[in-house]
Amino acid sequence: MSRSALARWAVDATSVCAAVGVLLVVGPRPFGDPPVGPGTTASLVLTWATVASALIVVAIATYARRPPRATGAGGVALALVIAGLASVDTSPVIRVAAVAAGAAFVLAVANFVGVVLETRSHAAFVIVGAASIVAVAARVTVRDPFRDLWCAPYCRDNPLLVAARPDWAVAADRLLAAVALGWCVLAVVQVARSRLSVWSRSSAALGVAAVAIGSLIALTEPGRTTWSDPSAWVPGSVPATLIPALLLAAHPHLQAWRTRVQARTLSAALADALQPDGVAERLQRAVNDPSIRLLFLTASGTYLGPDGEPAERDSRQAATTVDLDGEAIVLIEHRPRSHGQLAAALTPAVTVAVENERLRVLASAELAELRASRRRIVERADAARRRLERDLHDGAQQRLLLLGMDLARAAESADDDQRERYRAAIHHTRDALAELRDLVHDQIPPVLDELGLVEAIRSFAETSPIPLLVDVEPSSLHRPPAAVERAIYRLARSMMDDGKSAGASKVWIRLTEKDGQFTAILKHDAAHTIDPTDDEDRVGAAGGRLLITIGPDGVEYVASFP
Amino acid sequence: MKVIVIDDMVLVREGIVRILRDHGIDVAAAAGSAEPVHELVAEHDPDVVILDIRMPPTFTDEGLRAAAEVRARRPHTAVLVLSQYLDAAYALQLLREAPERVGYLLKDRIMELSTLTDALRRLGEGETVIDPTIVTRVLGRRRESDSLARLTTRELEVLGLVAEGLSNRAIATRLGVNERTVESHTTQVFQKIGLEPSTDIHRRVLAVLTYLRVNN
Repeated sequence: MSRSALARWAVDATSVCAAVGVLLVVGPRPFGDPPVGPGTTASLVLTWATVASALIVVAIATYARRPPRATGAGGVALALVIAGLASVDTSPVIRVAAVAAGAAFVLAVANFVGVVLETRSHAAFVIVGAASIVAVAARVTVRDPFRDLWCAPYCRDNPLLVAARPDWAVAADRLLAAVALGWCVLAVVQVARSRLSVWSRSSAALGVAAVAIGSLIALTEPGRTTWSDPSAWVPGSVPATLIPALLLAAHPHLQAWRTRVQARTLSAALADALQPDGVAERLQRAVNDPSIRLLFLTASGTYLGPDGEPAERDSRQAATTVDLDGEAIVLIEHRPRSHGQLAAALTPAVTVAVENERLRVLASAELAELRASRRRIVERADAARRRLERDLHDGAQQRLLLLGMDLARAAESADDDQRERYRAAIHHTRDALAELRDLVHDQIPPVLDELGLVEAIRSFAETSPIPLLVDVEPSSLHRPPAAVERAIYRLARSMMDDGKSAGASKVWIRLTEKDGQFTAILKHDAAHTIDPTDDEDRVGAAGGRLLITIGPDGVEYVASFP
Repeated sequence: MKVIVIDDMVLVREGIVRILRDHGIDVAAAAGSAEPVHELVAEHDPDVVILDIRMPPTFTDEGLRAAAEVRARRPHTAVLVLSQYLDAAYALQLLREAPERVGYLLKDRIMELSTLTDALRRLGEGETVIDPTIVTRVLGRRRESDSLARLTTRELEVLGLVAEGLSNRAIATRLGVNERTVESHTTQVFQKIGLEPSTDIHRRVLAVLTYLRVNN
């Protein structure tokens, strides 16, 4: 999970916990007023209305999905929780509420830290957030309810109390009031900056301000507000009239949020469809028919399976085609009874995914065919060379040997004068044999196939026109596949040819094997004249990759074969 | 001297047999493939088996394998491999697999009767025979830091003859000097190129050829 996703989860959890805590704490016992006497019902309605309006502000800011705004929302919720905590009593419901409120506080702190780390620039949020943490921590650790004459008769013990300091507790209350006000100001700013209509913006701002005033009154005079005091009515009555307006204000945001969720779901589905064979699997799931198979039509009218290999139509299965410009391009095989469901599943988006899948399969099949044909061309050329070599060995070389033998025998029984002539003829025969041998060797040297690459390269070094330095690591190198051996041997020859014509002082070859991967590094130390096309073809045909570095100090090939 | 000739090319085989017989060598048997070699050897008990390197069924290096098997089974029978390949790799392969009394000559040598008969004689005497062309090739190869540059001409000559498989005495005869001189030369040469001096012909041929071929 990414850090921003984590932050969003923290914000959401904060808002939910805060909402639960606020509803349970503040709802039944507004600002610590005992729930008896005239006006109780009205006070409950008004208080719930206050809380609801505050939560709508929270929702607006949270769903804006910006960490600073979300923290602002969390802060507002937090201020309300604190207001509720101010009225702790012995009810078990209140205990649960206190736990929820505590959790909200922890999450709000974590969220605040996250925001500081993420933005590092929103000074106002940082200052107000830090003040909130300090104020809450101070209040819960120093406020002893039994030192408060008003609270003593029905408040329960404060389990988080560290030291009873009534004067500090009052100071913390004041700080909390300021903090609550601060959050409200920030919330107002955020709402005012949002893209709501002027009317919605001003009503939202009024609602937030009302909450702020209520919080302020409640916190500066905790426990001493009563329903005979009009100031207790203000925070409730104003937002109660503004709730519809706030709902209106929130509406476009909620709608935008829903659109975002839909877009996310769609993009996830598309990403799924881009997986190889993801389309067929999605269709299988959607139609609940595991026998669904996609067959892609090629230009020549044959079918390709999802792996790009030629495939046959299964005549026992029913088939539905996907058409492009009136021409069938994909055949979907399925059970006969899946027909209706499949037709419904083939929405335009799915059809596009199926078409894309076909393009992918056709392209990969073509690529595989090109690779195979390159390999076949090289193999055919090699086979022709070997045949030539064998024909020369069995034919011309043997005939020349026989000729030489006959000449040698004739020379033995000849007189001195003729013997000299025979010797000359034998000499020519031997030269012809040597030239023939070199010619054969230049094709594919038998030593390469028979004794392996390392021996072949060492043999090559025996007659190389410039020194060829061979380095093999590990010394017990396994024999690579024949195609790889031939490719590397060819590279060695071409590097030597280039090095020689460019005037290099030497050629290096380093062969390494690691985890079954063979790598050949070849270089010479002269300015290049090389045309690497043939060498690239060779390496590519053997399934490898050739990296070429051409610089003023020489040419380097790095050929690696997986 | 009794020999067996094995070569899959009929005309060449017959030619070799004829030449050897002309020179008074007893060719006890001739065959076209390496398969019956053990029966022939058991039946005729030859001094040397002459083998073509390239024979059926794969036409690659059957001759080398047959040579190694003959040497392993019959320590007193020598083998001479005739090859079209100049690569020292094959000779080294033979030296590694078939200890002692082995020879590796280019097939062209059947046009030089004296070289062929000389090789057979040396094998009969327990020497190792490596074709001089192969030795010249690895001796003459271009090197990055030439450790051979520190050798005198005479020492290089001695090193070449050692690589061809000659004993100290044979080298002495060849160069027209006495055996003690050759001994001091070989000691000097081995010291200069950093190899352990040895009088075992087979082992020193293997060491020198490997050194000449692999050392950069």
